[in-house]
Amino acid sequence: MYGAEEFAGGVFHQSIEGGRATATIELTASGVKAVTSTGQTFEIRYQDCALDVGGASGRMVFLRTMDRRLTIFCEDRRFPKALEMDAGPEFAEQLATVQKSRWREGFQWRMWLAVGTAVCLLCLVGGYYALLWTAKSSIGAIPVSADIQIGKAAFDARTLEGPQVTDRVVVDAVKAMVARLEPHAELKGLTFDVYVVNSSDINAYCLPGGKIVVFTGLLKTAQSAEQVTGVLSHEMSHAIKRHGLRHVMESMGIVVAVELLVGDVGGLVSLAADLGKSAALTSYSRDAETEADVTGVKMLHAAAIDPLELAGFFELLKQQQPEFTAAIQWLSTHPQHDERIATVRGEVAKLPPQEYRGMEIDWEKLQQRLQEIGAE
Amino acid sequence: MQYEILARPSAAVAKLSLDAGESITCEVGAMIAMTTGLSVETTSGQKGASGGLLKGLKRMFSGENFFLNHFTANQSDQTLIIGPTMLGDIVHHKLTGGSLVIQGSSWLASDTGISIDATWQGFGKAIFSGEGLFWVKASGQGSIFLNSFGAIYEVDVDGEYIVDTGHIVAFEDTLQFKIVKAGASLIGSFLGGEGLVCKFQGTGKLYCQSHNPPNFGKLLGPKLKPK
Repeated sequence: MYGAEEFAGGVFHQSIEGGRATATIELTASGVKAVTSTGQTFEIRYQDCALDVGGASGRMVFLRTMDRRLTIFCEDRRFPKALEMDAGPEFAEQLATVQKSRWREGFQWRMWLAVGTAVCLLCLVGGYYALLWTAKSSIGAIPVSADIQIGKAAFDARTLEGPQVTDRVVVDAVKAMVARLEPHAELKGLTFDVYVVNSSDINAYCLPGGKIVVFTGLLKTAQSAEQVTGVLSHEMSHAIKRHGLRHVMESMGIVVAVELLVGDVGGLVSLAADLGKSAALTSYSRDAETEADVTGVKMLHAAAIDPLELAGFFELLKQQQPEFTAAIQWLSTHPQHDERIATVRGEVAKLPPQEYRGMEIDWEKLQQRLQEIGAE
Repeated sequence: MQYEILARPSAAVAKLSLDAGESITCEVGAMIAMTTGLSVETTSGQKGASGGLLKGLKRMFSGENFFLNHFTANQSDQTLIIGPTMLGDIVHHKLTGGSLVIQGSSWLASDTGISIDATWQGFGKAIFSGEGLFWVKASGQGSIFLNSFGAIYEVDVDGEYIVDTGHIVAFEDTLQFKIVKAGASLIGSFLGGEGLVCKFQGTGKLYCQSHNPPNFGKLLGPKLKPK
């Protein structure tokens, strides 16, 4: 092995200008030889050699004469092992510290890298959810005009699921139901516009801002005007509780959250227009549906309409469900009938006594007109 | 390149004379004055070398600037005068291979053949040495100009040497330092006003500064009127 390898290192000696020079280190049979770039040669015999490990890195190997007048040093990774092989086991213990130091530094770096990565990930994920939470919490600060813009954009972007019904008897009846509820909406500033669509779907929805779409299938299936009003109270509650706005924020995530926090609703409106093309804007979570049921019950009670009519409509659907399964879109994203009936009854039980009044709508005449106009 | 260090040690500036084709790499903002035959190139790495982005980012952690300015003489007999931001000294060090470990903000200029990188000295040293988290590591062969707060003094260490925290300017890579208590007991060390100190071991050159920027800041800060 002697002389087989050369290592980059240096020498300290008073004969060198400046006291220090870079050198090529070679292990010989008798000792360590260093040749500087100017050709000066220095050698320390193994038996006259003291070994230290140090330097800024903590891994530099120093070989010194006993009087410290000559020092040869090297930081090459291969040097400790070559020295141990050539010089024998005398320096093994000190050279082992070099290996330990390398291992320790490697371990520390890996540990810091892992900790740093974990902290960064935690900050990113935490920051993301904190921003979303802040945006959701600040929803009350967003003016109702934003809901109206979003609802209008969504309404303009989507096509009605059937021909619009303009018959005064039918439309006025639905408007009368909405008008009875509207004064009791806890969120002021919404504009409830009614659109009746000729479709066999047993469905109705209310877009953010208050645009209500009612399908003739719902009017024909319900057994009373109070039941339809119950369904409308539920749909209007989605707008009142701003579920559409929340849903857009949850769907679009961080971008919308940032836009809302900086007070820009322009992006939100264009996103709502895209969502409005599908049913995404009127598909809510089960929690939102339950909240709409509870709010609807309170509105009905405040409007002196028996809230149990809403439960009655659920009972009706429950009985008729086998033959309506494919058509009852209104229920597709909603909680189960029994659960909803229980929720409504539970809420009603908490309400103070109230003298309920029926809707001043000629239900028979409405049904007859639906027949006359060929409503599906 | 010839150099002359003027107005030492309290307000030193380095006057560099460059012949046509000679270059020097300087800290951003170090140039005070120059003759018109010098051109300036700004990069994030060594002049003419690639891969400077990472080195630039690492240098930022050590308290230096992301960018480096390379001054090249297009004509003979050009003069460049450079100086540090802080009032203090400048010293010239001839690097003949190996590395010089420099505390952040003490590197002023160096030959273009010298690589300027950042190095980590360990968490304990980062907290207690009174210096930054990272240090500047200059490697290669050529001239380096270091600056200090106050005067610089040079020590040839062979064995052990103790320097108070915040007074290190630079040391050769053949030296190792540890943070130790100044006195026999930790309480005594702090009561004596010295607290922790840096104990150097090995053989090599060490540069220290007479004044300590953080201590000066603590002394001056309370006397400044709020804006």
